[in-house]
Amino acid sequence: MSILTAEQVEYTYRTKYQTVYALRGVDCAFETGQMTAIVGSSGSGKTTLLSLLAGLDVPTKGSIRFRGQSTAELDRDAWRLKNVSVIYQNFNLFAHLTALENAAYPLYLQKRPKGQAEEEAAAQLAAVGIQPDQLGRYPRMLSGGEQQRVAIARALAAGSELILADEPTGNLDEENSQNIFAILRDLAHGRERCVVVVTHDMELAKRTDRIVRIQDGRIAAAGPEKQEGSGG
Amino acid sequence: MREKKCVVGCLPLLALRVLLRRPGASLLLAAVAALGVYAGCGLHSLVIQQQRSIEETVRSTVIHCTLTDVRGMNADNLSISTAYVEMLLGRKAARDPSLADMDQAVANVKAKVDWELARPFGMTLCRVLSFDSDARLEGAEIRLDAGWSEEDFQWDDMVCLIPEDMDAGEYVDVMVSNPEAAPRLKVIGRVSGGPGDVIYCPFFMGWGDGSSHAFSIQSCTFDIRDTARLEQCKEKLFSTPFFAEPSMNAVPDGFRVGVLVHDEVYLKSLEELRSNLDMLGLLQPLLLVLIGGVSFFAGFLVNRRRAREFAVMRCLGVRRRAVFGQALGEQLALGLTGGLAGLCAAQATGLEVRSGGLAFSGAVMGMFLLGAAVCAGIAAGGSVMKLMKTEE
Repeated sequence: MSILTAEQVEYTYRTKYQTVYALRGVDCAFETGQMTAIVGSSGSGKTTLLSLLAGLDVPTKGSIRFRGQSTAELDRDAWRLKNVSVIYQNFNLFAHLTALENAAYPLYLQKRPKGQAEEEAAAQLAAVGIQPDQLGRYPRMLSGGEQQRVAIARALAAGSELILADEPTGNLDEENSQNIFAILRDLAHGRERCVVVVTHDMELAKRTDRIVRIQDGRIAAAGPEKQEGSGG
Repeated sequence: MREKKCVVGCLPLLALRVLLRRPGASLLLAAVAALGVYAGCGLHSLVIQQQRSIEETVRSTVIHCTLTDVRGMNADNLSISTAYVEMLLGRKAARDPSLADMDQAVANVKAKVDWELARPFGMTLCRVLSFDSDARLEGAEIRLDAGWSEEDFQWDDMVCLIPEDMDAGEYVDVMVSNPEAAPRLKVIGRVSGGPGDVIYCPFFMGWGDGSSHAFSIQSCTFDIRDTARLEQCKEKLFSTPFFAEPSMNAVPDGFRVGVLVHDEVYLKSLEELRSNLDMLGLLQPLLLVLIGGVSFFAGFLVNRRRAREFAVMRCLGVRRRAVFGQALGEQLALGLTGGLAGLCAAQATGLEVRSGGLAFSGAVMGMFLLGAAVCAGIAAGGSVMKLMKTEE
């Protein structure tokens, strides 16, 4: 069953000189236990779609629905806190918090007792391969791969059903990319989460359950990798 | 053991720890607040100091006045009646109600009359209201016999002071060059180091036989009693028919005398002090605006660098008003800490902190917080989508 759907989504915004039509009538659906890749060239609208799916804004036209309810009608802050985790290419960790504090942050927001929050966060950090001696380190003291693991642990700690990742391996080397991708795929398959990944990397995209290709703000093709049959 | 749940969550404590882990930015904001409060106290202290200078100038300055002719030309050989001195002393009050409180306007009246004596020959009889009426007594030592005082020289007593080396007994018989009587004056003291040919006697001394002898005053000076009411005192003086402001165009009528009020330096000093005070009064709002601007700019710079951090918070589900609250709370904590440090520094360096200083510091902190609130508003109001985009 689809947990998240985009229905005839249009998104426009004005710059100083023009009106940009970032998305034009996008229809797609995302399911739990499935990992979906959104691919497309730069400027095609894939990050905009991911942001709308995350509830950071609402479509100009059409709707994004979570379990049938339009995100425009939701208290999106509360909804994000409970249901959505976003992972970014540049990790977006809090520079002045330790790895443990970063991972526990969503739990702090949920007003969980500090000890309990940090215990859970430590468990999630261990699950993504962060060693106990690294828990007290600040992001600048960690490698790119380790920072992305902390970001994923933060998403896991939040307990979100939706995990949206924008170029999660963009700043990582080949080995770390493979590892991070494996973790994300395990989230979808092992923990029954709905994982949506925006990526340029077609090799990685091919390892997802489904690929949605966006071109000029429209869905060019959507479906299992085997059916889509084109790369790049 | 059951863990106690934080009522407000752990975020405020976490935010406080983050402030300490970011010493550069935290110090910058605290320093802005500290400098603002210190500068505010400094400026307020200058205002207080200036006000005290004005009060001190008014209190301590004595405005000297000199009687002259109506043109203001002659002050040493006036040849005017003792009635003018009596008026200044308030002794004519009973006869002329307009002079009833003249002694409230003037003080330290000094006047003298010199007469060349026929006896003892070669001596001068000088009638004085007080010993400093005659410049010749400056530096001289006056020894009065027991039971006598300088005040006795203001009233009718047949007494005198004679030079130290004058050969005289208990009394001196004096005779004016144009005599009708020869009073006998009791010697009550001696003058050493002063003029050797002057006998000093009371200003209003009568002749011993009950007859009167008209004499002309040669010079008279006095002070304005209350400098704070200088203008009223002058007005009071010049409202009488006897005293006038000297003018080159005035025609001597043998009745009115001029009063030279030596208040130029005083008025100039007062004007300068008041002008400084006005300038400081202008600087205070300027300082407030400057501090507001600087704190806004500092807060803006610090928060601009944290725009992505705030966007991540929003992304994680933190509400806009919570982001605003945290950004403002951080600046408030730093501002108050800095402000307190500024107050302590002001107190330690002797600046004016109480009352006005505190009020001004409060205004400075108000401007700081206004800037902080605007910055926090900008931080919380940014487009999360725009900030979080990594491509497109």
